[in-house]
Parts: sequence; C-alpha cells; structure tokens
Amino acid sequence: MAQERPEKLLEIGVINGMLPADARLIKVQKSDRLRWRITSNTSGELHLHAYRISVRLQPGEPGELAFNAFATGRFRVEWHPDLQPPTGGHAASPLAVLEVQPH
Amino acid sequence: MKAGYSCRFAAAFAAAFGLIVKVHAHGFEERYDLPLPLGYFVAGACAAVFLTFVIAIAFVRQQAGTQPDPASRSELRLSEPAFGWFIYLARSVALLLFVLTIVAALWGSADPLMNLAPTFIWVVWWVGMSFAVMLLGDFWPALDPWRTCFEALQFLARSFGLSRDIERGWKWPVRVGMWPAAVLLLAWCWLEVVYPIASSPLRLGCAAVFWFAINLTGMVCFGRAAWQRHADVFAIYFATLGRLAPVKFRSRPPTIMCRRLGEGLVTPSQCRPQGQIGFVMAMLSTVIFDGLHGGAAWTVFEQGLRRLAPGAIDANGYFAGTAGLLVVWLVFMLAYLITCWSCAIINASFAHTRADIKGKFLPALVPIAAAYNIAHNFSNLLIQGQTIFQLLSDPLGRQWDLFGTARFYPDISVVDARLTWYVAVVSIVAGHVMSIWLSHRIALGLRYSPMQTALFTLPLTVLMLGYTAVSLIIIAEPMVSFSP
Repeated sequence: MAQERPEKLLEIGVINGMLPADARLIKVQKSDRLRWRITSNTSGELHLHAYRISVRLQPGEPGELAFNAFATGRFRVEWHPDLQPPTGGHAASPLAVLEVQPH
Repeated sequence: MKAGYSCRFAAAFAAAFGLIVKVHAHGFEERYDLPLPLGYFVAGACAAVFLTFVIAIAFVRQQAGTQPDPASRSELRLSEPAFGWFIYLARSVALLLFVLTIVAALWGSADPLMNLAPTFIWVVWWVGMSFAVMLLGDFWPALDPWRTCFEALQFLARSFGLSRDIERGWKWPVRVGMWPAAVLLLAWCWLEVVYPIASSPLRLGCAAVFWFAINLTGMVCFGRAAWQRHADVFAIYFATLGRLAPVKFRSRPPTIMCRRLGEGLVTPSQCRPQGQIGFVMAMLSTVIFDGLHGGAAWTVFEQGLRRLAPGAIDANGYFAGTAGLLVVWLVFMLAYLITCWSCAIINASFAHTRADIKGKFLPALVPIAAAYNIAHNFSNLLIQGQTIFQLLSDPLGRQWDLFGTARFYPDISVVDARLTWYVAVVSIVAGHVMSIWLSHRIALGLRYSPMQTALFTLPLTVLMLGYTAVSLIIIAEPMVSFSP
C-alpha cells in the first residue's frame, strides 16, 4: 500500500473577487490531498471546474475545500459574486488556475 | 426549485470543461512537464522515422510490390438475409440519431453544453467515427443518413411510379475532380475552429439542414456514387481513413475481409480524381491548424498579419483564422509538391512524371492524417465523449431523464496528461513510420530496383522528418508551455 500523502494546506484570500497575481497559479501533483482555506471580503461562491466542488463564502466567514487532486490538467477556479446575477457563463479570466501535473 | 436545479446543473456542466465558447473537440487543457526536454523527444521520433527508411531499403523487397499479399487477407462471407437486416437496423438507428440531433439543434436548449447536437456532432460523430473507421474499416456507408434519405427518396419515387430513376445523370466535370470535397473539408474545419457556430446548436442545426439540401441535390443531379466520390466530404473522409484499417467490407456479396494494417492504401484505387492532393493535404493540415490556433505560434502569426494588413484584422479573429487555415494548408501542399518535384529531378532518368509521383504516393500520407487525429483528439474523445450519456437522456436540455443517465458525470481522470502525451508521441511516430514503409512498397510496385527506390523515397523521407518534428512540437506546445 502506498503511504498516504501529507495534506497540502493553502490559504486563499479573495479580495473584491480577485487574487494577487502571484497566487493565480496553483501547481500540484496528481493524487495530492489538498485543503484550501478561503476567505473573502465579499459574499459569493468559489468553484473548481470539472472537479465540481464549490463553497459559499460570506465576509468574515471563511470556507474550506478539501479534495484529492485525482485528475490531471488545468482547471479554472471561478468566483461568482452574489451581487451579480448568475448568467450561466463565466468571466473571461478565472480567479485562479489549478494545475495538476501527472507524476 | 426546478429553475435552481437547472441553473446549478448548467453551471456543473460548464464546470466540467470550462468551455463556454468552444464545445467541440477541446476538453480542458492538459499539462505535463516532460521528463526529458522536448528536443529529445523530437530527435528520438525523427531517428525512429529515419531508421525506418534505412530498414525499409534493406528489407522491403519487390515480392510485396503493390499487389496485396493473398496470405495477408482472409474473408468472412456473411449470410445475405441476416446482413440485410443488420444493415437495415444500423441505418434506422443512424437515421434516428441524425433526426434527433437536428431536432435538438433546432429546438433544444441554446446552451451548447445542455444540447445534444454540439457534443454529438463534434465529439462522438466527427472524432469518434474517424477513430472507428481507422480501426474497423469504412462502415460509414452502412450508417450515412444522407445516403439513406436519398435511397428512401429513390424507393418512394419508384413505388409511386413518378420516375424510373431520380438520378439526373449529369456528368461530373473531370477537371473539378475532388476539389469541392477539399474545399468543404477546409470549410468544416473553419466552422470548427475559426467561426463560432460550432457551439451554437441553432446555427449548427441550420448548417446541417443546409448541407442536407446540398447533399441530396448533388446526389440527384450527378448520381449518388459520383457525388459521394467527389463532393461528399464526410463520405470521402471516412473512406480515406478506412483504407488504413485492417478490415474491409463488401456489400455484394456481403463479405468482411481482413488485411494487414495499411494494406488498403497500397492497393491501387480504381479512380484517382483531380484534387485528391488538396483533400489529403486538408486532412493533414486542418488538425495541425487546430493545434496551432490559439497557441504561442498563433500570436506571432497574428502580429505578423497585423503588420502586413493592418486594416483587415477584425476583433473576432475571423480574418486571421481564415488566413491561417489557408496558409497551413498551402504550406503542406507546397512541401509535398516540392518533394515530388525533387523526386522527379533526382530520378530524371525514370519513366515517371511528377504528376504521376504526386498521385501515387498520396495514399502513403493517410497514416499521418490518422496519427495527427489520434494525437490531437484522443483525450477529448475519452473524456468529453462521456457527456453523451447524459445528453442522450436529455437531448434538448429540458430536464428529461429518458434513460436514467441525465445525472451521469464524466470520469475526468480516465486519461491523464502523461498518457495523452505518450499516445500522441507513439501515434505520430507510428504514423510516419508506416507512411515511409508504404511509400517504399509503392515505389517498389513501380518496378524500381531497391537502390532506385531508396533514391526515389529519399525526398519523401526528408518531408516525413519535417512533418514529424513540426507535428510533435505543435501537439506538445499547449501541454508544455504556458504562461498564466
């Protein structure tokens, strides 16, 4: 049995629906166990494409996403603010990109 | 409640692939830091291709020639009534799917990810059918819904005594040859990559109806067989890829013939119409163009174009896209024509003219077209293709669940980036290796000595080396280089 990988913790601080430029690319390896602690100063929903996981956030109420990076590829991390009515589409550029590399 | 579910579901769908605009054969981007520098892969692939040339000179001998080796094929004769019923069933299912796709496109949801048509047309049919005919032989005629409609029309006309034959029997102009099919293949790629109707079910449906009208009119005017040999881009595309397969079908008497992989390309075909070169080059160049479009090299091309023709650039990139598509096709054509010209010069004492060489070696390029197709679309077919289970249960995007699979979600981990990369490398090398092997067989079939054959196929080998390197770099580019 392969030894279970240690969990990788990442703090994500969304400010006005944006992330600082150096936090917009999250690189991990396939099968990594990830835990994201997310805070935001506005209310909305953060979701990860294809992995189909999302978390609702309110100002002052951090959320958490814990998952296993089981599929490789580049996946968009999207922010959907509550104030903007949902259109079914997404902004041109995502909040961040999760890049899962094969071993 | 329902609206909320629908909205969430749409978001989940969109989330699946992050393809809001493009729904066709492009899944999410795969990323892979290669274990060796890309240059090593390219050098290794080229070395394998060159080695094939050397081995072919040493080992491929005249006895093979262009005559298929009788021992390499076996036949399976099928019972006539059973085969007839099977074809009848296959045609009915294909026709039903065709009608369903058109209905979904015209009256279904406008969201490309909730509508059966875009995924069915671009991923399941266009990519899936290409893969299937490469492996199993050209069975498209047994499914072709346009052909079924035409034959049904003919049957009805005869039954009602309206006309003995609805085919008008106009003669297909020899000079026009297969050029319409070549132009249509480029247009099809243009619709897929450049002009964004690919993801609009309604427009896609209109295009399908338009093609239905043209296709049937063409069959009526020129006769089904002549039309499908020269202008029916899909019939020709699948038939060309099907020649690669180790299986061949014959309808009268119903027979399945097994042969070596690629044998069907060495067997001289009865007709070699004008414009076949344009078509085969479009088969190669459209996949490469799709890989190039939007990549790093594309930005350079667009900048160059902006400098050359500043007024012609539009915000949607239609001009650049159209120009790029044509340029890639012309470059492929030119490279092949220069190669044939070099063959003719090096071998000036031989009896074959340049035009002759051009046509004779064209089938040897089909494995490359197949290889590019596999390298480019493999992971998309396996991942995005899975959404068809969901879409078949709710083809119009109306919250139906006909087969209980409406909530099926693709397993996005079936193919990973490493597998995608190695499938691409192996298929590209195998395609070029096969191409070189086949060109030797073809050259020997022209009754040249092994030495003459080596000289003859040398320019082709140089071309193959170029194709190998360029295609690998283009396929690798989006996977290995990206700046966020």
